[in-house]
Amino acid sequence: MKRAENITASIFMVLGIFVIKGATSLIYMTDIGPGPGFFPMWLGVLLLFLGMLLIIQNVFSKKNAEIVSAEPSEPLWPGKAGAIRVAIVVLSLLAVAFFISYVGFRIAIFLLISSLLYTLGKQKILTTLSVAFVGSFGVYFVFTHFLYVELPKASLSWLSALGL
Amino acid sequence: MKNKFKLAVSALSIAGLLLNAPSASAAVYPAKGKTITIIVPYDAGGAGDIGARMLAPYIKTAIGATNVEIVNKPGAGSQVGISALAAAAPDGYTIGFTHLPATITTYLDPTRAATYDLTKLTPLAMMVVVPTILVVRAESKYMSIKDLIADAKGGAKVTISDSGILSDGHLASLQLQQLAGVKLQAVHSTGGAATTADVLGGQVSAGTLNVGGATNELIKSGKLRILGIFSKTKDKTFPTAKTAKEQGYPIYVSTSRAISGPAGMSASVVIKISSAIRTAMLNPEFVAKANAAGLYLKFMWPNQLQTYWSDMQTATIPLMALKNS
Amino acid sequence: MAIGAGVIAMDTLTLLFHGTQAVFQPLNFLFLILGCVLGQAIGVLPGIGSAAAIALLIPVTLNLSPTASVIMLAGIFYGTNYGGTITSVLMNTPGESASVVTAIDGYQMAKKGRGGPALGIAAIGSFIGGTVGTLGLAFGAQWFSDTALKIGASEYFALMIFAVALVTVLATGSPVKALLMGVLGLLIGTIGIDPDLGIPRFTFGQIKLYDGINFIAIVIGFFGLGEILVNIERKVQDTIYTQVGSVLPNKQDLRDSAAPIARGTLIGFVLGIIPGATSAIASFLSYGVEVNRAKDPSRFGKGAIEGVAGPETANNSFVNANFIPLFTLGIPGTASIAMIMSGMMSNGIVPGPFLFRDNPDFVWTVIASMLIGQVILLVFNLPMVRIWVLLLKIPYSILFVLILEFTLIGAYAVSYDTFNMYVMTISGFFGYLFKKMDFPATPFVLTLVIGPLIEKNLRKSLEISSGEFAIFYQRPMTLILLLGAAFTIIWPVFKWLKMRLKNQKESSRSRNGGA
Repeated sequence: MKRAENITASIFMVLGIFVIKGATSLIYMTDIGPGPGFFPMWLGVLLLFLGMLLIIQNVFSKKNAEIVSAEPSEPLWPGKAGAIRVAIVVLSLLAVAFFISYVGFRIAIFLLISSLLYTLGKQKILTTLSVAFVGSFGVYFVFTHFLYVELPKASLSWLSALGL
Repeated sequence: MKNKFKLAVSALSIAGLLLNAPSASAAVYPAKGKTITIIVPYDAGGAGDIGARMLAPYIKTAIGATNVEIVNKPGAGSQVGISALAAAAPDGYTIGFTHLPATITTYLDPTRAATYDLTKLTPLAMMVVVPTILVVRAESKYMSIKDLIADAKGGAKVTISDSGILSDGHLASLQLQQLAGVKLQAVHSTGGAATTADVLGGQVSAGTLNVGGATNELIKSGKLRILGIFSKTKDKTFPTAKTAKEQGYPIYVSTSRAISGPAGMSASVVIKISSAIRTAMLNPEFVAKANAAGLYLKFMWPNQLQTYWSDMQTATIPLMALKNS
Repeated sequence: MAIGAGVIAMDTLTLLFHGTQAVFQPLNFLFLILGCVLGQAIGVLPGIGSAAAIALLIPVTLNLSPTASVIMLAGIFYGTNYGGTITSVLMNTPGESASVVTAIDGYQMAKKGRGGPALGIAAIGSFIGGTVGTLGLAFGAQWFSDTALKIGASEYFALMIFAVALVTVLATGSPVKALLMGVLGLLIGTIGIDPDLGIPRFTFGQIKLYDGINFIAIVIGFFGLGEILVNIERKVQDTIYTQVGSVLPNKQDLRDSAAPIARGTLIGFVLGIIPGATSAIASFLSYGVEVNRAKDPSRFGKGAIEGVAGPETANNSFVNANFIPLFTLGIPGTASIAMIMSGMMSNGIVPGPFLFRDNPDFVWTVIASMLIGQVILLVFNLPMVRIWVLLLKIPYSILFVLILEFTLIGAYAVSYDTFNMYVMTISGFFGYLFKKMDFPATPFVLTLVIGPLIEKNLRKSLEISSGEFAIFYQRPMTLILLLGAAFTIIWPVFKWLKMRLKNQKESSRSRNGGA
C-alpha cells in the first residue's frame, strides 16, 4: 500500500513539474489579474507540494503502519489471474475504440460481447451468442430507429456494401 | 483519420459508380445521385444550425440536387468544422458555413494554429448579416455613446460586456476605445444570453449584443436601450436609434453567416451554387419562416462577399494586438 | 401590498386553470406524454443528453402547433432528469452531469440491495423539486428573475469555491489524497482553449483537445468502468447484485430524506434562476450541504439516502426554475434550455418581457403542462422502479458486459466521436487504480466539472472591477460565501486541534496522577 502510494505521489510530482513547465510558456498575469498561465502554474505547484506531503506522511507514519493494517484486508494488487482479467477488459475496449470505425458498431460490439462473455463470463455458447446478437444488432436498431442516434457504421467498403 | 476518409471516399465513389455509371462525367453539376454536404461548424440545434436546416431544402430544389445534407462538425469555436471544410475536395459537393468575424479571428490568432485562412476557402454567398449594437439597461444614465465616452474620459470605470474574446461585440468596443482614445474595460461573457444578464443586472456599464430575437423584445419593452448601432444604415425595427457613425464613431461591425467552399472550386460550380442560394433565399415560403425566426437575411454574391471578408480582415488585424487588455 | 399580491395570485390561479384545461386537449396531452416518455428514455440511455435530444426533435416540431411543440420539448427536458438517475444508480454510469452526484451514493445503495429505495426517493424528490420550481415560475417569475440578475460573476465565483470547500474537506479518508484528486480534476479542466483569452493550453497542437476533454466520458470511465475492473479482478462472481431488496423507500427513508429534499428544492431553485449556473453545481452543492449537515458524514459515499434525495431534488428544482429567466427575459441559462428557446423561436414565439402579455395562452398552457408532467412522471416512475430494479437480477457475469457496452455508447454519443471511447477506457483504468489506493473520486469529479467555471468567473469578476480585488470583499453576498468557504475549511482543523489539545491534557494529567 505505502509503496504504491509513494509511487503514485511521485508520478503526481512529475506531472506537477511538467505542468509548471507548460504553464511558464503562458501569460501569467495580465493588466487586470491572473492570465491563462496563472491557474496551471499554481495547480502544478500544488501537485508537487501535495505529492511531497503524501510521501512525508507515509514515511512518518511507518511506525503506526502495523497497527493500521491489523484489520484483515485483501492484498492491494490482484494475483496474476486478476491482472490478466483486468488487462483483457481494458485492451478489448481499446480494440473496439480502434476498430469500430472500420467494421462498424454492430460487428465490433458483437465480437466484444461474445468474446468477453465466453472467456470471462464463462457462459454457454448459446447464451453468449444470443446476448451478443441482442446487444449489438438489437441495440443498434433501437438507437438508430427510435432515438435518431447514429452509431458508427463500417467504413470498409465490402462491409458497408452489406449494410453494416 | 486520413485513411478513414479515403476509405469513405472510395466507398462513396464505388456506390456512385454502381448507381450511376453512365452520367459520371465531371461536367454535370450536381450529378444525379450525389449528395451536397453542408458543414455547420456548430452544435445541432444552435441558432446557426437552425437557419442552415431551414435553408437546406430550398437549396436542394433550386440546384436540383438529389440530396442536400447538413452535417454538424462542432468544436473549438468552429475551427474543427472549417478545417474539415478547407480540406475537402473542391468539387462543390462539400460546402459549409463560415461565420464572420469568428472565422477571421480564429485564423488571425497564431496560438490557434489554424490550417486555413481566406486563401484556403472559396466564398460562395452571404446568407445572414446581423448588426451589432451597444446597449445599456433602463436605469443607466447613458443616453448616447457620447455620454459613455465622456464618463470614461472623466475618470469613471466603464465596463463593456461582450459575448467572448474577439467576438463581434469585442471588436466593436476595441474600435470604440481606439477612436475615442479612452480606456473601456472589456468583460468577456460566455455568449449573448450571459451578456444580456450582465447588462440587465447592472454588473457592467454597457454591453454589445446583436439585434433580433429576445434582444428586440427587451429593447421594445424598455428594459434595454440602444446607445448606438454599428452599421452604415439605421435599423428597420428601431428607426429612432442612432448609428455609431451618426455620433461621430464610424465603426461597422456585425456578425454574419457566410457560406464557403474549399479553395480551388471551378467558376461554373461557384456560380451555380451561389445562384441556387439566392433563389432559395428569395423563396417566399423560406422568407416567411426566416422572418418568424428573426433572421436578418442578406444575400451577397461571391465577389461582394470576398470584398466584405477581406475588408473585415484588414480592419481586424490591428485589433488583434489589443485583445488581451 | 398584500392585497395586490393576493389579486395577482388569484389571477394566476385563473390563468393556470385555463392553461390546465388547454393541456387536456387531446393533441397537447398526447405530446406531453410523448415528451415525458421520450425524456425518460433519453435519460436512461447513455450519452445523449436532453440538449442533443431536443435539438434532434426541433425540426419535427415545425409541423406542430407551437404550444404542443414546446410542451413536448419541455417534457423531454425535465423528463431526462428522472431517467438519468436510473443508470447512475444501477450501473454507476451517469449519462448527464447532473446525475454524476447521484452515482456516488445511489450506486452504493444499489450494491447493498437498496436500489429500489434509491430510485424511489429520487423520483419523489424530483417530483417535489420540479413542482416547486414550476410554481415559482407561475407565481413570481418576474420578481425572481429580476432578483437573480443581481448575482454577478463574483458571487458566482464565491459560490463555487464554497461548493468545492464543502465537498473536498468533508471527503472521508486522507485529506491530502482528497486535495490531490481535487487538483487533478482542476488540472484536467484546464486542458483546451482557456475560458477567457482563448489561448490553447496543454493541447499539444491537437484541435480535438481545444474544447477540453469531455468530462462525461471521463466520469463514465472513472465510475462505471472503474467499478467493473475492480469487480472483474476478483473473478466474475454472481453474488454482488443478487439481492434486490425492497422496492420503495420505507418510513425511515422518508424521514431521513425530508430535510434534504426541502434543502435541495431551495438550492436548485435559487441556482436555477441565476443565468449561467448549471444543474451539476446545484446537485454538488446540495450533496456538500447534506454531508456537512449529517451527524456522521462518513456514511456518505457508502450509500447514504440523503446523498441521493438532496441532489436529485436540487437538480429537478433547478431544471424547472430554469424556465423563469427564459420566459421573462429571453435568457437561456443552460444549453438544454437554449435548445428549448430555439424550439420556441423556430415556431415563431419569442421569449422575453412580452411573452406573458402577447402569448398568455401559450405560456399558461406550457406552465400547466409542466405541473401535470411532474405528476405523469411520478406516476410512471414509481411502478417503473420495480421493472428497472429487475435489471439487477441479470447475473453479473452477463451484466458486466452490457454495462461495458453502455460505457462505450455513452462515451461515443456525447460528441459522436470514437476519440471519447479511448478517453473513457483510459479514465476507467485510472479510476480503478485510484479506487484501489483509496483516492476519493468525489473531489476529482466536482473540480473537473466546475474548474473551468471557477477560472472563468474569477477572471470575469476582475474584468468587472478593472483588476481590483476589492470586488471580493465589498459585495456582501460574495464576502459571506467566501467566509463560509473559509469557515468550512478551518472548522475541522480547529476541531481536530481542540481534540488533540484535550487528549494531551488528559494524558498528561493521568501521567501526573500516576506519578
